[in-house]
Amino acid sequence: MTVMTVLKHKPDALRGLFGEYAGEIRRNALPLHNGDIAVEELAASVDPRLLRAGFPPEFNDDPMTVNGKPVHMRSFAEFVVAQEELAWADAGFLLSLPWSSMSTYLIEVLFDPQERDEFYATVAHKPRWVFFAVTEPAHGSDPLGMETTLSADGDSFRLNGTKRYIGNGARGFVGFVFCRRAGATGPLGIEAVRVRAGADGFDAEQLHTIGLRGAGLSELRFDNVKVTEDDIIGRRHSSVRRGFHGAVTTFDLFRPGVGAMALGIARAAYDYVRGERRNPGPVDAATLESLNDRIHSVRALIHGAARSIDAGKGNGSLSSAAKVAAVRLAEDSTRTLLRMLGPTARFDHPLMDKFDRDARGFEFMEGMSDIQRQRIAQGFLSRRFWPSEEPAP
Amino acid sequence: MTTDTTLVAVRDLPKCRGTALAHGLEQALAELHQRVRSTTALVGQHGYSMLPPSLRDLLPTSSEIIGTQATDTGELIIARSGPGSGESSAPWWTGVAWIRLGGVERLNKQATDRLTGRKVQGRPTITLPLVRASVGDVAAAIAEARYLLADTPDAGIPRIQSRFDEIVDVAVRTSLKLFGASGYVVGPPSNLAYAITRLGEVYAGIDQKRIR
Repeated sequence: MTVMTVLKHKPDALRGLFGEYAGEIRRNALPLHNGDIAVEELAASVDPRLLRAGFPPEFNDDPMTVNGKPVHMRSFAEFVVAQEELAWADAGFLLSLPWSSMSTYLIEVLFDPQERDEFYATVAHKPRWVFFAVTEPAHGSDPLGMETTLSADGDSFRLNGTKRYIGNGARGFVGFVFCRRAGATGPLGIEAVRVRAGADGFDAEQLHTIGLRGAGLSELRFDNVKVTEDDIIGRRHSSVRRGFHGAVTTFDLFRPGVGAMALGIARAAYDYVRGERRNPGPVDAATLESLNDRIHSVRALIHGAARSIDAGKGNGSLSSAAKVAAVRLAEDSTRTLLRMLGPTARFDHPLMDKFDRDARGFEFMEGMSDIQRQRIAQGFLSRRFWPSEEPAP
Repeated sequence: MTTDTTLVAVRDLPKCRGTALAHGLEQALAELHQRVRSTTALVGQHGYSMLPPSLRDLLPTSSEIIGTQATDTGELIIARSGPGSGESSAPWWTGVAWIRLGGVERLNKQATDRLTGRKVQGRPTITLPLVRASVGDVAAAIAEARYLLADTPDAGIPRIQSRFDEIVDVAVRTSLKLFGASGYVVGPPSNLAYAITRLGEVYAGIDQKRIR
């Protein structure tokens, strides 16, 4: 995925394409949630073209197609369509898809060309997972509070610390771990380093979460893990452009996508209840109509934020607004619709119970809503909220 | 719904938002009329109008001025016309919606400017996290409304009206609360807030059946 690309296909055409995959994935949503099937098993059974979505065209010689034209998914405007559709099916499984990893930005922008090519060659023909580890037990996703430490050890380094809530952490074959150089303070002391599964001193354990189980949120522990100079991501870039910048930029770029996933769950719950309540009473009908209006409205905001990023005018606060609005909608939608189905809805409609459990997980991704509201205010008050062509107060 | 506007004029309707933000509702509504140029659109579907005094002569002869609505920059006249005088106009509704959005931004700017100059226990009020969270909520609401409007063609307006009004209502109320008790006193901020709300009511009611 790159910034400054344009939408190659109309959203409705993409929606149709991913809608077909969504139907297939939905069939396994509850078995995956219940632990009756593993992500690895499911990934091996889906169309490999779906797993390669977003790969550079040179590493994807058999892409998905719409109307006979290849779909390479190289824009955020395309991604948010796919993410909404696939989250409608199963947000947990979507989060397990290799291309949904936030590592993509580091690979695309901070890797050397040769490293990038080697990486894509490795993952092009079989499902392999990559993790992106920022969050820590005591500091959440705040990069400046980071305590995982990178210490010099002769010609190499040693990594020590703990990361938590890391998607695909325990199943990743490699990952990028954000850490602070020992003794360094401030944002420029932050680095991202590559850690391979099986490295001495590296231990990963999947967490048992309320929902989003396909995501495989994990705790990662690093006890004197050896890291070489070559493992420092973006080492040929200035420290201003890597490390901290990489983490913050990644979060900003991916927040509309998180919003799209939350939107997909809201829509899934809405569609489910519409199917169950074909002739709702006037109160329920008004509630459904209001939720449908919000789905439509929040989608416009998410797509606007994604288009801004593709146009090179993205800013973190608009991305945060998209995420906050979508997360609220997902929680409101699942809570309201569960209630509409009656007091035993969680037993009688386990899929709705899953939607509700999944919806709550987005609050914590890429920064919780209360933090995002502060960021939105910061952007708004400092006139950095709108893309540059917009009037500012 | 009337569509007696040029494509260029309709495409420029979002500019009315910037005018409302910078100069207030009266100037923005006058600009909207220049762009839409429909006299029938000046009367809402329910027979009421809310316009700057400069457009008074364009109202139907049956119109009666029934009052005024103060804003933060002047006042708008409120008129009632005979049955059947008003007509749904998607471009007019859309323009009014952009103006209301710009009005909310204007109101919020006034609120945050004021809080920048006030202090609580020695700290500027605008730096308090709960206050900033409210500002963030208003910004998110404005963004949602802005992209909803921008992404909706005329034919889709009946579908978005209810949600748009809801978002603007939340943004207006939250912004006015930021003024504290002074926002409850009749004055420029509360006048602007009330005018934004009433504008939405006067020109509400674009009906799918009436689109032509």
